[in-house]
Amino acid sequence: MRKKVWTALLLLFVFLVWGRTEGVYGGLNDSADSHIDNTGSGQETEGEANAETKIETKADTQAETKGEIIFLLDGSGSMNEQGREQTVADAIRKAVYSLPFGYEAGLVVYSTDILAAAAPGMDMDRLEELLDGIRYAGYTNAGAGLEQAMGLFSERDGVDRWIVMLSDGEIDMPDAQGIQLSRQRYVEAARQAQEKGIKIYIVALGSELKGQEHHIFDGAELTDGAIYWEGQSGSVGQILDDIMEKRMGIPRGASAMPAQEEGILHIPVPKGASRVRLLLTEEEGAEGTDFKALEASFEAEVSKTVTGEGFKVIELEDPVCPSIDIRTEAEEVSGLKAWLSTEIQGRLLAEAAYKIEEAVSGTQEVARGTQEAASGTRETAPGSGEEIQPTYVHYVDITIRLVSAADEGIDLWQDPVFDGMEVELDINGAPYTETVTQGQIQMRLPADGIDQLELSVLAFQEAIPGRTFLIQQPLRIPIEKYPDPEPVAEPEPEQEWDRRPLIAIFVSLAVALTGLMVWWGKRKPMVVVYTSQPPEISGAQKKVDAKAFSYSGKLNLYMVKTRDGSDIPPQTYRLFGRRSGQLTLAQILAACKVRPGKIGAEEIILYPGPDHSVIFTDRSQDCTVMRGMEILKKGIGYPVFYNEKVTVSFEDGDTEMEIYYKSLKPSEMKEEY
Amino acid sequence: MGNVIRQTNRTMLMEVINPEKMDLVTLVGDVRGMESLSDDKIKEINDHLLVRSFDEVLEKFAPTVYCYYNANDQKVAYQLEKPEQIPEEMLTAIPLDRQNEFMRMLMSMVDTKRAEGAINVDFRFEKLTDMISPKKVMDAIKQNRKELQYTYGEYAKLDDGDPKKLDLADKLNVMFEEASANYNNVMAMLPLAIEDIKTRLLLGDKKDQKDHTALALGILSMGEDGELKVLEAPKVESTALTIVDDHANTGLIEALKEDYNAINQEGNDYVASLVARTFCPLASTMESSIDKAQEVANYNAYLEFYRESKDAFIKTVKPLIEKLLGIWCFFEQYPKKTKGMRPSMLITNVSNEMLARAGNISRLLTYFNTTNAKNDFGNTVWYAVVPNVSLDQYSKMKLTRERFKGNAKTEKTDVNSVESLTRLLDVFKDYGVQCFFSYEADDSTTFNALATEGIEKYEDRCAPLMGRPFSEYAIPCLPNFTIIPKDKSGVVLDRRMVMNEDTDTVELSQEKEDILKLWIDGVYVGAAYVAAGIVAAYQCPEYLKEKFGKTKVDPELPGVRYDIEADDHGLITYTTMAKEITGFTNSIKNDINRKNFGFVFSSENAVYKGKEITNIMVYKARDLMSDGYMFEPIYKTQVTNYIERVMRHGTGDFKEDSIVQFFSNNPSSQKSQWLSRREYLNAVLGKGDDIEYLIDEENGYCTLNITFNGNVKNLEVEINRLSANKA
Repeated sequence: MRKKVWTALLLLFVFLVWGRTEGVYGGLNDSADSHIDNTGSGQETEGEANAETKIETKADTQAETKGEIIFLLDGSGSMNEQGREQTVADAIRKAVYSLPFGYEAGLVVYSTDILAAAAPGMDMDRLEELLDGIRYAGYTNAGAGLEQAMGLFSERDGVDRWIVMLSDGEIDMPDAQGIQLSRQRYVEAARQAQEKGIKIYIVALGSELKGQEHHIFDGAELTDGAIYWEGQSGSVGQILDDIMEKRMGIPRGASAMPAQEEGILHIPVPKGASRVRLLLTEEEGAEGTDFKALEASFEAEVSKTVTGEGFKVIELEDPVCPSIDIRTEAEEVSGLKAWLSTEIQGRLLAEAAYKIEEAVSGTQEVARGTQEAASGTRETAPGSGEEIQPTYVHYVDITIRLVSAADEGIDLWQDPVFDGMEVELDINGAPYTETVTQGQIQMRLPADGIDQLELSVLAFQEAIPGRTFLIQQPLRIPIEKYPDPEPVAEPEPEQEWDRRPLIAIFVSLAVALTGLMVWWGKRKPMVVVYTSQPPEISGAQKKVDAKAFSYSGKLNLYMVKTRDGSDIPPQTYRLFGRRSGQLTLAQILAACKVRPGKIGAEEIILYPGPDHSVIFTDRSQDCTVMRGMEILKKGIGYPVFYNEKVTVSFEDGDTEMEIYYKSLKPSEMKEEY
Repeated sequence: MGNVIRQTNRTMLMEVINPEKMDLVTLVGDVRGMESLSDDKIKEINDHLLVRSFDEVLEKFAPTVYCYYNANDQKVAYQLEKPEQIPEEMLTAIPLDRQNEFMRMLMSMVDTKRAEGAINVDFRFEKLTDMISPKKVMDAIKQNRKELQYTYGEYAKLDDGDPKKLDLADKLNVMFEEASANYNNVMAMLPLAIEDIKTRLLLGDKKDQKDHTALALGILSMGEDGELKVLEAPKVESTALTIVDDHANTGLIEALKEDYNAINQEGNDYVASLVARTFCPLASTMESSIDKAQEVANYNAYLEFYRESKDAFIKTVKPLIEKLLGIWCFFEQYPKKTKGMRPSMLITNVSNEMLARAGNISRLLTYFNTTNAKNDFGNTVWYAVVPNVSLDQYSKMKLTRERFKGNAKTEKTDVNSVESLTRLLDVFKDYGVQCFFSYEADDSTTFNALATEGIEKYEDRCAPLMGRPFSEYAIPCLPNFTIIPKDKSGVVLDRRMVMNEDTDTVELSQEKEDILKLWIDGVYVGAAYVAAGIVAAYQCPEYLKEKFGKTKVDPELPGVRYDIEADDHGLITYTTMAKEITGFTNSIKNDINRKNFGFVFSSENAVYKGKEITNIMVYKARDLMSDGYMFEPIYKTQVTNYIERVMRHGTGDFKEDSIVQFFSNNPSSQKSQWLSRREYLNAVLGKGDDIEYLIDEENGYCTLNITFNGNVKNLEVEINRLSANKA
């Protein structure tokens, strides 16, 4: 009995010591795997228990506002010329209707005083009401207008804000004092905008704006906005499109001429959409479409249609149709342009499978262990005759899907546009970047010290223009754990013994365990990569904690040869700014939209290394990776420094690529990724 | 320190001249695992591809067109690529060199136009286009045969064994070699045969002759009543020679016939006599038995065949000739007699599309790693020329294989796509190579077109290349140069011959439809060649000295900072190309000046110091990098690259302590040396220029703020910290 207790204590101690170093092996698991593969012993010892947990979270949806735009329209008498008022109103309508969900628009109309004002978030009816109600008359009190616009923005954090000012003249009031006052208010409001980071874009209508004494251009100059001239920069509609796309970077869902057959245009509605807004307009220069004659057919819980001069808007809630069909009188329609904004409510579904694997510390032990496992004997320390107790590594394998909040059967990531897309995740407060493959994300994390996963999607790497996702998150998943397999011990005769020393050891171990847990909770996880050393230190391999470094520079990728002989344009992949952690060559290629198939790219691993290097590790079966003229040994990391070249010959025997690792200059680092 | 860089004008031309010769991709070879090439490899590449004059291009690349005959359609076919399936003996290689009549005509055109200073509308192109007509070919032969006859006469006079006879024999060998070029293939014989028949059948034919009575040679005599009479002389077959009636030329005839028969195993007597008659005409062409109908039929058939084959030849060879003329114009910008930094050109001899393939780009990178990323600047490439870029700004590289039948599109096959240009620019930016490119050279991109349509078209086409990291290396050159305008490119070869049955006479038809004419369809040269040529030329301090005088130019510094737009520089360093039009309108010039777009040439009326300038000048020299208002002058990029290279060399690859020294106020520091020469026209830092540096310890970068006339340009270099013990 005493021997059994001591064995248990020893086991506990080993577990604790292993717990201290678990991070090493936990993070090293890939590296350890590769050792196993390379020795040919091949089989990992897998825990016999796999627990699966399928959890859904409660709805915690909130429509996040990403941007607020206020259109500041000059309603003075001079605007009432040559049909300009109608053109400008229509351009604003189209701009507002083409905004994706999550972006809110407001409107301020001013002349001598404020004529109309609506804060961002106004609905379509209110917009129509305000635009229809404008009576152009009076002077131009731009100061009051800008002041009013500034007051309408919300106080929410993390929201981009812009003002688009449309005017045909400088500040003009009945008397000089009024002009002076308006000008002061204008400059003051522009300064406020500058402080708050609100950019002002000015659309100068007509040719009266000549930049004289009481001009309004400094609003754009102060806030780092821009000035556009009607005519010179295009029509008002084109200018607003340009501002929203190029200046504000709003991902609007522009689509080219929709597919049509026999006089019916089909505009597909993305699966799982909860709200859809379709704006149909004419291409610039095309005229003559009778929008009133366009009949729209669709199925939705709630719908609303607005038809104006030169546009038609259809807004649907909970659509149940695969497409919106527009019936036209003509067999072929040309010059139509469609803007589709979609809101999709989704929720995360995840499965977490707890796994226990027997840890191995080197190729020698694995080989011996395998032999002995085959012969049915237990492991013993060489020459000692004592048993070595197995240690275990604990993982959780996570599979994440994004489904429609309304219908779990609709898998949103199954859409081909998501295949290969990188998704930034937050798991228990740590950021991860994972790739969607076949509609889901699969990843493995060390499970020690974690009883629950709290999971949220931070961002999709590439936003899909016009689509806004509202995701119920975070998702909480408890991890159902099992104890490690008990070592089989031979029964021993029970003896009377003194339990006090044991209790003392237990108490001291419990204290040590608590201390270790606290220490472990505070320290960052560690990823160790074995890197090659220069030839003068022959045979030695150095452990490098890849987590301690961050990525820098960029990779220039050249597909020198492909299996089908196709020519793939050179690609650049920016490493700088990426989260420290493993990247596979397959992920990099997928991000560059290069999909060569299963050729071993997923087994070529990159980690950040010291001195701005990137560590390449070849864990593939049959790829050949060269750093310069040196062939990389399997499973060993090789640091590659700036201006060095890596050549990869893939498993298919045909595909070859060259990777140039280049530095980024400080000015390039500031550029948006 | 600064004068380590002795060449700043090596230019890389991305064009194929002769696919049979070596090219850059083949010479660089497999670069797997290689960072750079060996010195031997660079030497080998230079041996094959580097040229310093137009004649060296002709010598190294031996541009050739291949010709073969198709018995099925009785036609002649030409090809620039050597047809592999045709046996060598059935193939005729026609070298395109200065002797080629088409090439010669075009080069004379440029020279004559330059000499006359006439604009296109006034220049009589037809004066020169008839250089390829059979008549002119014959005129050239006449000159040659005169020399041949004289030399042979001298040779025949001398006794055997006389040393002078041996000298003359050597000379004759050379002359026979040249003459044989005209009779070693039937095609070359055609103009000879055409003119020969004309000579024999139309003796006495004059253009203004009204009656068409047959000519009968006579003797002036007096009749019995004392009236004057011309009596017909008795026809006697003569073998007397027209020029010198000694027996020497009988030997020449035999020598020519023998030479013809030796060269042409399947030759016949008709052609042998033709050769003899051409090079050694006899006094009597009034043969007693001449089958006029047969000769007229032959003449018309020869002429028609000549026209067809010339037409096919010109159509095939025109793109290559345009490239060759472009290279010629590049080298023409630098005066032949000037001894200094003569521009050199590395011709890749591989198409842009091929070079831009991902598999080949790595070879180009390896080449540039060797020439442009080392501290030896002898082989550094500073410029690239990409002519003939597609006007379709979204043009893609050709698919290797079309798996599914797509829409049929009519695409120009020989243009460089914008996609391939973009790929190359991405490489050029990393190695500091400024790329001069011009759009498809045809009548839509000439001075005339620019003068009427404006510059907007080019701005639109360049839009995809703006705002990109490589924009400062992209230099759009415009407009293209016209050698022969499309509407003036007709060449009258001759008129058909007809027989008058009534009078049994032969005459040239006066009918319009019987005039045999061919259309060259315009010959144009890409502006990129001339732009690169003039910029490469003014890099040389000797060139600048010739233009501005010795006192204004530093004899050692290159012209990297020379701003051709500044002051009167454009009026002094102008191109060698002749003016084409009267000028651009003020509105077009305002348009160009407003945005300062492109490398724009102008054809303007200009006078400098009382001397009229009849050449084309540089109006703007800008790249595609813009600050939102205007585009940047090209010299800024080159000065920045120059400073970076000098600095890399002078600071041992940017050692931090050496950088400090480089910019110190010590009179021996590089900055001080540059500043001390700021009065010179080719100073690296001119008046109003300055240079400051800032070391970013955190990122390990040194930022240089180079001020050009008040405008600052940044250069960031990574500091080599290992030497400074700060690693």
